[in-house]
Amino acid sequence: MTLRVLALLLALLPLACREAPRGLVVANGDDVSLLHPQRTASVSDARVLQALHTGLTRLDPQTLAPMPGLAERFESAQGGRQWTFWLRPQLQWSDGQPFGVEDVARSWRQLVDPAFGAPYASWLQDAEVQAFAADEGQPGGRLEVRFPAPQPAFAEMCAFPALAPVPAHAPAEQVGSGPYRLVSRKVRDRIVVEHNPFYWDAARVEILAIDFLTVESQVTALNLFLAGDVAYAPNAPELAVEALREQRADSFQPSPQFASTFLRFQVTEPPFDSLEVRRAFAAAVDPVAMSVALGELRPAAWHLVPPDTPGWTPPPVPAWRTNPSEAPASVAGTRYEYLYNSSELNRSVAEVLQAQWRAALDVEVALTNQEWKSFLAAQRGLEYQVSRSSWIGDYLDPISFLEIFTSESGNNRTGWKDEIFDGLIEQARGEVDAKARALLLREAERRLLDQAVIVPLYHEVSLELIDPRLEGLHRNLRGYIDWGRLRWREEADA
Amino acid sequence: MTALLRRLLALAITLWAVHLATFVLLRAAKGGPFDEARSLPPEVEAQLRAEFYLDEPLLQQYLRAAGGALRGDFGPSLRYRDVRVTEILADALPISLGLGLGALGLALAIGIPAGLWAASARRRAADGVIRALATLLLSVPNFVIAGLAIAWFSFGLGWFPPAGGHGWTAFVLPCVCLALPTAAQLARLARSAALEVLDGEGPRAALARGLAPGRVRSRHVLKPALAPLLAFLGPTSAALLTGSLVIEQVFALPGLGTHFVQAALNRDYTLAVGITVCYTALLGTLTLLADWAMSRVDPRVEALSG
Repeated sequence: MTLRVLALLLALLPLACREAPRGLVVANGDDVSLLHPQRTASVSDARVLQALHTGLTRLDPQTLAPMPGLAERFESAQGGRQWTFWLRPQLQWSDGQPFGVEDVARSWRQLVDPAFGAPYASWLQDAEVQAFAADEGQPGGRLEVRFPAPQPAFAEMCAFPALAPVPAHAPAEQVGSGPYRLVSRKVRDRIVVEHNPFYWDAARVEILAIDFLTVESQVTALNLFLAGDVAYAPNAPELAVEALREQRADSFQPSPQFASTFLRFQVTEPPFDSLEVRRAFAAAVDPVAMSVALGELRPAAWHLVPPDTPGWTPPPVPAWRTNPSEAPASVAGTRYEYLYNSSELNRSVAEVLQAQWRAALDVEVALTNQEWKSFLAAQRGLEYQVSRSSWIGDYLDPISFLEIFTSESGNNRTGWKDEIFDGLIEQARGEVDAKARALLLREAERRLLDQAVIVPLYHEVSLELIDPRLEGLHRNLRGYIDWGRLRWREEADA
Repeated sequence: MTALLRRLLALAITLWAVHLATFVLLRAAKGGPFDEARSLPPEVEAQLRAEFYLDEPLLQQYLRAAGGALRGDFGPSLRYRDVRVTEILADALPISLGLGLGALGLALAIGIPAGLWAASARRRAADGVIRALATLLLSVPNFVIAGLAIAWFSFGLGWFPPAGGHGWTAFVLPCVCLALPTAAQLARLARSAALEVLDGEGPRAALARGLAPGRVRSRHVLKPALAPLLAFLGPTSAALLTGSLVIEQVFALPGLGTHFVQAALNRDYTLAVGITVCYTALLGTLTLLADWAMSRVDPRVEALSG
């Protein structure tokens, strides 16, 4: 019987074997859920979509400054209220079919159609888009976008997969305009892409194929990286950070990310409907001690907006935070509960917070962890007192952090509604002058922190593993990768 | 034949009950398939819920799901919205089957001879060593065995890839890691079953009748000792063939095991129901096969073929 089973096994193994990798192999982290650029908001989806779809602009991988993409040039007027893009002539989809400005306009109309269900529909909700066909003066045609309020970051947003044009004649999951085109996709296994010969900048694409492997375990991704089987992994495991810093400094350099971790208070019910109690709890949190306890990898945060945001000056930290007064009597004698989503790091954070609150306020805070979806449901339903939260900014603008706390935002999840804060954000949205806008946003953050709706804990860092022989892959705030510009360093250069 | 029909009917009822229970339990869990860190605008979420019939009354949703399941169609996955559950099962099942069959074959090849050897070497050194090894393998978690195997065979000797990879070499370490605890369990079962038979009168009478010891071992010891092993093998085979979360994650293999857990965590209702029904069908069929095999080996078991 054993022999028969073994024989059957040998016969079946080739069926189960996976395709051989070609070109660059990437451990992409979580499984890609959707390959339609307009229908997803996931980070691991976006990494693959950046290879398959390209926008009117692309970003400088070092500075994240917008550069020409499908549009050979672009300009803004009226402080970002009006944008004009001149498309390159003779653009082609990855199946060789031609496309132009009309296709971009059609794609954007589809994006804002509520029936289409795009998560980033709001980016173009109020925009007026006009396409001007190609003529002698503008061989690729021209696209004009007008917003009721300035959108200074629109050129950067255009490099995001959500705003990439999608074809009408074929599924966007299979045909795009990026440097690569889809060869095969196996759920929870891998996505294979190959060089797209119809890409506008095809001549500069040197790596001819990329395998995006689904590797959810960070330890497995590290094993594959150390074995030389993958050249890029987005997240090294926490436990290996120290060893990697010492032994693989050429491949591993933790770098700032455009993301922050903070606490949310649920402000509609006691005990945290009281500003006094919130401030007492916020003042008891020491982000510096937290950062040290977590291994000094993540910088302590006193603000929500990351300090590396270009052109941003954070507001002063509220005085009550640095010089706390006596805790109010109402803090004692209440049962407190801290909610976090299950993970090793989050448990360590919870334990540090529990100790800090105990030391400063002499209160006992029960720690509760839930799996991700239950945790999100509890946060959305305001079924918590204090909870751990984090946020990744979509584009390098403080407003992408601050606007989540407006009264109407679905991402507020604190129950906090503040007319002053809403007014400041609304004014900033309409402000044409960049300096005045920055001041309004600064004031909005000051208000948010002063009202102790949130308590910043630390700013996130990127723990990317990058093969040092790979050229063109830079660590940047947004984890942006221009796949079409990567190349293997020549042996002599290495 | 009647017994077989009765068992098949019981399997059909079990499948229906599991389908219903999975459907109800998943809907009772907090959170939904479209809940993410970044909330969707309400109109977008409403659109998605309508697209996947989640806005219908629960009974109607259940009838739709049950009707689909009867036709072998569990609908589109709610996480991989452009992929159907049956396509995911078709991709993942061969991986799990390859891995599971490899592990099963290896477990049988190691476990049964080791158990029989230990029984024949009763209370001697070999028996002690086999029993100690089996206890060790049963008490060490899978991921520790996998970690050690990767350290030695991938990074130490460089024989096999640490994960993923291609070709048969990618399956060696996961198969071994999955097989060892089952082999240990089989060895213990085979040993105690063989000891029970050896202590009985059958083998001694056969030896007294002058049969050769080798023939006595195969006909009078092995065959009766197989019955409890077969009972164990039914559910164990199903567990091995439908994948292992830990081994699949450690070795980045896209089998059913990871889907099985992740589908529930993602509230991917359709995929979770599809996998659970698939798992139950496999479990039921393999248990049925094991029972049939047992009835062939041990006449005291109700015959399924007669």
